[in-house]
Amino acid sequence: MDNGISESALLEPRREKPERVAYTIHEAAEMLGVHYFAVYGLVQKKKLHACRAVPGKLLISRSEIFRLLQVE
Amino acid sequence: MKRNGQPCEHTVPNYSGRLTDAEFLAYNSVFGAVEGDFKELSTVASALAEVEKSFSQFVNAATVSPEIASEVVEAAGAKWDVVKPLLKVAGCEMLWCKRHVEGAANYGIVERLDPDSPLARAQGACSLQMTSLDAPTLLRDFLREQRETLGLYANDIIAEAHERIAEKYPGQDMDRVAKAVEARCAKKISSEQATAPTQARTRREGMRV
Repeated sequence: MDNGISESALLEPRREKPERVAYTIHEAAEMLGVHYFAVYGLVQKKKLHACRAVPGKLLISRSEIFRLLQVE
Repeated sequence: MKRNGQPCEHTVPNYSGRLTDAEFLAYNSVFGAVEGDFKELSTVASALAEVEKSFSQFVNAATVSPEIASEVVEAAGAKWDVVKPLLKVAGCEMLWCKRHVEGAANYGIVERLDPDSPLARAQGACSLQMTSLDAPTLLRDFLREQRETLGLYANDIIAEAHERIAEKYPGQDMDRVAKAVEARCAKKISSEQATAPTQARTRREGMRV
C-alpha cells in the first residue's frame, strides 16, 4: 500500500481503550491537579465520594471527578 | 525460634515480631513498592506533629499577636487575615486565618490550591474549611481531621502492600509481612502529642470562591 499503512494493520480489529469508570486517589489527584493528600481530604470531608474495592484501595468514579471539575 | 524450619531472626521497624529470611526478603520488596507513599505520609505526619508541638504558639499567634496580617485571602465571600500556614503539600496549603465579625474574632481554616489546577479553576482556589469563635477548639478539630485523613492515606498504603503480597507471593503465608507494614504505617500516623477531645463548636464550611 502506498499510504504507509500496512494491509495487516487495516485488517486488525480496532482496539479502542475502554473508558475507565473509576480511578485511584493518585490518578484522581493528577486529573484534579492537586496533591493526593488534598484528595484524601476531600474524601474525608465527604466532598468527594469514594468507595474501597474489597480488599483494596479507595476508588473514585469518573462521574465524581467530573462533577468536581464541573464537566458536563 | 524457628518457623517452617527457618530461623526467625530479622527485625523491622515498629514491628515486635521477628521475620524469617523469606519473610524479610518479601518485606523489603513490598515495603520498597510503597516506600514513596510512606515517605509522603511521613512528611505530612511530621508537619502535623510540628503544629501539635507548637500548639500554643499557633493559638497565640491568632489571639495575642498584633493585628497585622501578612496576607489576606478571600473565602466564602469574606476576607480572612492569614495568621500562619499550617500545612503545605505540593499545590495545596492549609492556612490558619482570622477575621473580625461585629467586633468578635472569628477563626478559620482556609485551603488554598494552586490557582492553575483544574480543581481550582472549577471550584475556586480558596475554600473555607472550618470556622470557630474559639481558636484552640478550631486548631484541635483541624488536627483531628487531618489525622483522620492520614488514616485514609495509610489504609491505601496498606491495601497496596496487600495487593503486592498477593501478586508476588500467591499461596504463601505472608501475614507477618503485611502486619509489619501495617505496624509501620500505624506508628507513623499515631499522634505524637495527643490533643484533647473537643466540644463540637467548630462550623464545617464548604464553599470555594
